[in-house]
Amino acid sequence: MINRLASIRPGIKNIDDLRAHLQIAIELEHSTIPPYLCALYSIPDGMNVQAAQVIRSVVMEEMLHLTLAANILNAIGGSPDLDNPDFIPGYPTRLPDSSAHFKVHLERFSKRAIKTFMKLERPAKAGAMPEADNYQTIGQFYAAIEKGLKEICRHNRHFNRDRSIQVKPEHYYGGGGGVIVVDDLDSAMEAIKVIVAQGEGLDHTLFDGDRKIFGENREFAHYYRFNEIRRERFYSDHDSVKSNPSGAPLTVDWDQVYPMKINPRAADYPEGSELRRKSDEFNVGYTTLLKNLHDTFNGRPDWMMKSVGDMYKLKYLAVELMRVPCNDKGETAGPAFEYQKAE
Amino acid sequence: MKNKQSSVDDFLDLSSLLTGFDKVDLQGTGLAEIYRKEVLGIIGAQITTEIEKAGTAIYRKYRNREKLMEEAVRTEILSHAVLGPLAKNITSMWYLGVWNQMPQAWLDHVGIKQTAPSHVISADAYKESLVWRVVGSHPPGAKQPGYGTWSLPPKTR
Repeated sequence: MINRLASIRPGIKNIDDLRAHLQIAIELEHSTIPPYLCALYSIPDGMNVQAAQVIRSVVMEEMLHLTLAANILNAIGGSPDLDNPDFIPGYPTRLPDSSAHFKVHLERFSKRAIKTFMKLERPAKAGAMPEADNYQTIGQFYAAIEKGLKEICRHNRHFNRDRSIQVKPEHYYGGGGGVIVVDDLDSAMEAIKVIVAQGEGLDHTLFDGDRKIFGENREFAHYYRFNEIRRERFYSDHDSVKSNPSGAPLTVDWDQVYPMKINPRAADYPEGSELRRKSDEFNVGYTTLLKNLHDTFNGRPDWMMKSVGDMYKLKYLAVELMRVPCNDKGETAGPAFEYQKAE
Repeated sequence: MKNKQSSVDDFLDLSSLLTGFDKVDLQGTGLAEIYRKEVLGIIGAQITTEIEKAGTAIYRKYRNREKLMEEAVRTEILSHAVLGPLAKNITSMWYLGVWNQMPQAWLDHVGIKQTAPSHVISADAYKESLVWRVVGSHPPGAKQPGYGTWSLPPKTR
């Protein structure tokens, strides 16, 4: 993904730049979802319940962010593109960190995976602005979009006000917060605020802003939620961004996990083998989901329902793969998240 | 026939023959070892090993030759006085997640005095029953399909 983030020149000078940035925002939000899902689905039902809930809450919010970025792009006359081999990063992928680039794998729930997730979600320094040559952090990237929206779309310029192409709350359920229908600058800024606040924390506190924005019970930003798993302890009322959590214990059994091999691929298995068939089935299902989401964000918001059905099917298929032994190291197969059209 | 200890893999060969599902799909349910343990516990090692050996031999000999395979399953397993009723029970266990009590006549024939009554094997056995896949549905109350998906047209082949 860093390739995509690096491929775009920082700074937004016109509406095309702004649309290009929002397309990359959609890709960025998506790129974290397969790694989070691998960790989540590798936890068998009923095991590590608290940790699973934390990861699930984060991944639901990434899906919300993807939808919000698509709504903004739609509102300013763009066309989100999800049905495309380049849309999927290919794992392991590299993502930017504030200091260095690092690799993100498709891997089972583990301490190492949680540490990577924390790097992914590390908040930017307050007021961080883009560097001259490229974006160093996701925070900088969204700061540029905010600035671009304010400048290019001043006085609600470029907004098509076509609510029929927006994904609305009645299409979206299951948590992560509410969808915002974007039809002017204020609602676009509100949507960006949700993306940044949930991911990085609002105004550099532990909290993600859901209470302020959605009136929900307070919830911590992603980085801090992952830190609770890593430290096996919840934050207490007295903790701050600078301290580690010191509240009630969060019980983690790092061994209660399907032993999925790292970065599974369909090509790991010979053509014609049963595992290849099942791995292909996942990839084709995933590619179909991207196509359905593409259509959802391009004029058929009611298709979100169909897409959610696809997501459940993929979940069950991913878990099935994770139960199938695939090598003599005692590891199991897993979902590859590769672009593969049905034959 | 080799006289080695049978394994989960033999049980999977047999189960694939009996259910018509690929081994990888049966492994995907996460139930193979649990089901094998169930059979071993109720029927004992001797007959369990015997049926696994019969299954794995047919599976290896006739793999990808469906008609011959089916015939062999009928003559060598399903028509067998001891293995036949057990094979039917193993099949319904995979499809329904339920162990049916073995018929009295069979128990008398093989000399088992006490046996397990009919029961659902586990919560997961209900969830992962093959019957849901065959009818293109989901286990009600588990493995939700997504809100409103019932209004979509059924998948056709």
